[in-house]
Amino acid sequence: MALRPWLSQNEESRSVRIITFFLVALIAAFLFLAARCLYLQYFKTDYYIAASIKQQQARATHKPQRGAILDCRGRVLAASNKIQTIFAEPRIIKDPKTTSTALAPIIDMGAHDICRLITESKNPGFAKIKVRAEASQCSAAREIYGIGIQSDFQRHYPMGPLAAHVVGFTSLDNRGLAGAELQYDKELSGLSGRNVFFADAFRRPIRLKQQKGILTDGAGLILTIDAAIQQIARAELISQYQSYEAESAVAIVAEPKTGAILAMVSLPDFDPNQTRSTDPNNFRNRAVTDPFEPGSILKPIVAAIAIDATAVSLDEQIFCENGSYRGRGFGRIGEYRDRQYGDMTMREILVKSSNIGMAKIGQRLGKDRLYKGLKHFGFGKRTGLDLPGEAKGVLAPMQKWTGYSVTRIPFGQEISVTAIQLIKAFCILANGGHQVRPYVVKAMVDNNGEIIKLKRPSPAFGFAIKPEVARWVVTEAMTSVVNEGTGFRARLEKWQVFGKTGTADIAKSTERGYSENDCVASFVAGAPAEDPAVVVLVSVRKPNKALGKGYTGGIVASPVATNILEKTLNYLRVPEGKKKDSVRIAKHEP
Amino acid sequence: MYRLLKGRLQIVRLVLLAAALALIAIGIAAIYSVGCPAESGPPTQTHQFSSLWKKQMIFAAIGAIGFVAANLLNYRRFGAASYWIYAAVLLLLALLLLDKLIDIPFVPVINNARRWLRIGTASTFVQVQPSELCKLAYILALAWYLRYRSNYNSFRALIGPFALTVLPMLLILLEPDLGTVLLMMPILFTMLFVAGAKVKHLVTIILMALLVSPLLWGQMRPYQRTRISSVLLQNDWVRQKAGKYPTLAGIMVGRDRKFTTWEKQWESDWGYHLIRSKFAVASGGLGGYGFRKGPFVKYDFLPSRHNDFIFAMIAHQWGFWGSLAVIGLYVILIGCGLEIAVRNTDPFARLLAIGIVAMFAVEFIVNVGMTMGLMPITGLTLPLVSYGGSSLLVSMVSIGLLNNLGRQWPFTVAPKSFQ
Repeated sequence: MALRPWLSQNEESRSVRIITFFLVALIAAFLFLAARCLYLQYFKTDYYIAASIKQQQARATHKPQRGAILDCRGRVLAASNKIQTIFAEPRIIKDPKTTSTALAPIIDMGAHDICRLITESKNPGFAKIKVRAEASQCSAAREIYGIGIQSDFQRHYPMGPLAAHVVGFTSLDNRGLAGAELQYDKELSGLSGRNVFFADAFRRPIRLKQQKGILTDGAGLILTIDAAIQQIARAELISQYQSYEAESAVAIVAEPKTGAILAMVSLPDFDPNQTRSTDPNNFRNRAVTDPFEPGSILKPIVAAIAIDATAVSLDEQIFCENGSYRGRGFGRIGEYRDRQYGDMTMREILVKSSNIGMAKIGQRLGKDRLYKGLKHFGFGKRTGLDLPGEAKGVLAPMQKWTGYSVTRIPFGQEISVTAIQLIKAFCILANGGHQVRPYVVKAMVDNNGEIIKLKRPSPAFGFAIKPEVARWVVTEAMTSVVNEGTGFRARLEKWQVFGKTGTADIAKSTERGYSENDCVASFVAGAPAEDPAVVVLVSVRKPNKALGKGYTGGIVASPVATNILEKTLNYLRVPEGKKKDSVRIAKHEP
Repeated sequence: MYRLLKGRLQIVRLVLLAAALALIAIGIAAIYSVGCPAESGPPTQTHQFSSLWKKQMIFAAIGAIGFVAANLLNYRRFGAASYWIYAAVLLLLALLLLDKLIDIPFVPVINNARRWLRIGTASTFVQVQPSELCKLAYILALAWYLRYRSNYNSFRALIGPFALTVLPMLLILLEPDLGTVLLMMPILFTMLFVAGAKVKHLVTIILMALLVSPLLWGQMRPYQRTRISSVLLQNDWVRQKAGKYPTLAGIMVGRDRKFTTWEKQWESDWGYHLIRSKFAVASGGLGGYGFRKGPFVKYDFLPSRHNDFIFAMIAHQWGFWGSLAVIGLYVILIGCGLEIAVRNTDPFARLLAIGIVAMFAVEFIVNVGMTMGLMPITGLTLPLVSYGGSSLLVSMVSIGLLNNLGRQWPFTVAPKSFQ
């Protein structure tokens, strides 16, 4: 019975019933499929046709070349080089061995290595074979089926750290991260060309459908920076910075009439070609980001404000209290190194750099005029320099001023300024009171060197002080500082130099008062006095007092400023100017 | 030739053969259109398909020989040899897997799978797909085994047929060729039902499988999961919900996926074939673009459009009426197959016919279903229509066997009693 291969009638009819059931089920399934067909092909046709057109598009982006950055004489500070990468598309290579053997002699690599790169690639569409291939290698490699070339741009800074803080640097994907690279990122970047293609199943383009955006290379920048002056300034500053073991140092060279920055050095600096291994703190352009209490270097500005406001007259004698000035509401004020002065004129106060004299002038000026005057010189607000990250400094609003403020601000305490604000203020003094706005980008040029946009210095829209006051402060007071006073190290043979020293204490961060060991040594100088061509500011933060070499602005900063000034004037071929008689007299003094 | 068609059930068999030939003809026309569109696009789009239709004609001729060969012997002689055929095919499958251990020159690795045996020289060769042969060998062996009641009428006896199924399934799974694997279980159940296995046994087994399935789902790779879950994800509402709830997304597509964005991933990855195949079908409309016309014919928008997605090409060119014609031809084909099964009272013959019909039906439903987004996308081809030599040969031999089964008088020991 068990091995009976035939069905009984009962079983037979059951089997037929099951088959009939299957037939019905199948027909139902088929009707369902047909219904689905009808649904897709009749009711939803338009919807899917519209959706399908969208789906068949692929986009290809062509990257523009980033504009170059040049100095004012066309020396290249930053440029983008084309880098060609040879790659393989593993999914279309049928026989990796043949392909690698063909490719090996062209790019001078082992066939075995290439083969391994192709077969072990995780991405079926892209296996990097060789970066930075030469053009001849690329054109030969392109002929091999399955091998392609990818072009990319890499930013390069031929001058290295020279103007690193002004020029800035870019990220790996060519976006500006600092300096002019960041400030003018949009202009430098250009526009990428975007093409929309019909694409097949493997996203290979079939034909161009639409062109969105035309490939436009980025504009180049011409800076006001002169690489030669920058080199002078940097070399001078570095040697002093190192020999005094300072924390940081800043030097700026500017053209007073226009506000053009000819050189801007901030130490410690970095090499923009190797930003990965750089301490991020060094990326800071201290000349614009770090405010500090300026100290005596501010005195000529306040003096100019006072004279301009007729708070003092030039021949007036001001009693300097023999070295100790105290009173209600402003505490005690002493002189530098406890010197004692009696009656002095405005000029002598600046030459001797008397704190008490300045405090008295501040009191005569009063809060209101002092505050407005400083505002006119641009303190407490950004200068508008076209570099990112500029700080405002601190000039407390007048309502918060105390008796201390009006006596301390005139000699540079209770106010903090950035180096760029200082240079701007002295540019105003040097050019006869004209407002200026410092700037670093002179013009933008296209690929053929045609100027697209000239960044003219903003027109002198006003005066900060009367021209004759400015002339007096520069040609009388500040030249005397150099000829007779604290700035004697800044004398030059060929030109009459004007200048002012500043040795500012640094306020303690945790308690009241100023630190005994740390100071900022600054010097501002310009020449020739009768028609200033350049103004130089050097500021060295925390020179090491323990070295015993001195720490004042006159010792630390003025030699640097003088050397920069001399070499720059020689480089610019500024004609020798008249020198004041007092120079000769002063020369015989120690 | 005449002798082949002579005999009983002549009309049924003639209609069967005519439907099969019509489907082959439609298939060749569709393959031809893909290779030589009326308005030819760039050469990258068509050059690889341009000569396939000629090859498919040759395969059809070989298939015709297979059809004749299947009719040369009495079908019971095939049954007697079925275990040997089954063993031989298993050996071939094992040979493919041996390539994983030692490099066998005639086993090419294509898309990380070892599915083909290459016969011939390096430049001119024929590729045979043993898993295709396995389908028919398996049906033959199973039908031969199930002709005895004792081989399936108790729960323990079911171990036999399941063992027969699981063995080739495992081998094919390791190639891997998921589509063919999924085909075998429905065939087994259909044949067991028709043979007369107890329904409660089969239902118990199905329930057990359902209980284990969540565990199995957890074991599946993300790409395998997305194949199946994309059927649900094509619904905008489901996709939005899954995009919103990470747990649901984790279950559906696996957690270790890194998304760019959900919707983008869907368009460019998981839903890629599904979306495009639906586009191809739907854009055909009622009447279609016409022979050798239409963007999906001209351009290579849809991968595998000459084999797995051939139905989409038919729907694209001939529209709803064309799709309906193909579905209709399959209804006729399967109807004839079932008629032959009913008319032959020999259990082996009936089971063999049912197995073949089940194979055609499952392949057809799954393939057309996946083209229109009703089934997960598996590598099942549309039998008789899709490009592929092994598949066409096996299909033609199957049709030949059906013809054989219908032609022979079942030799009954006793007449139907007491009628």
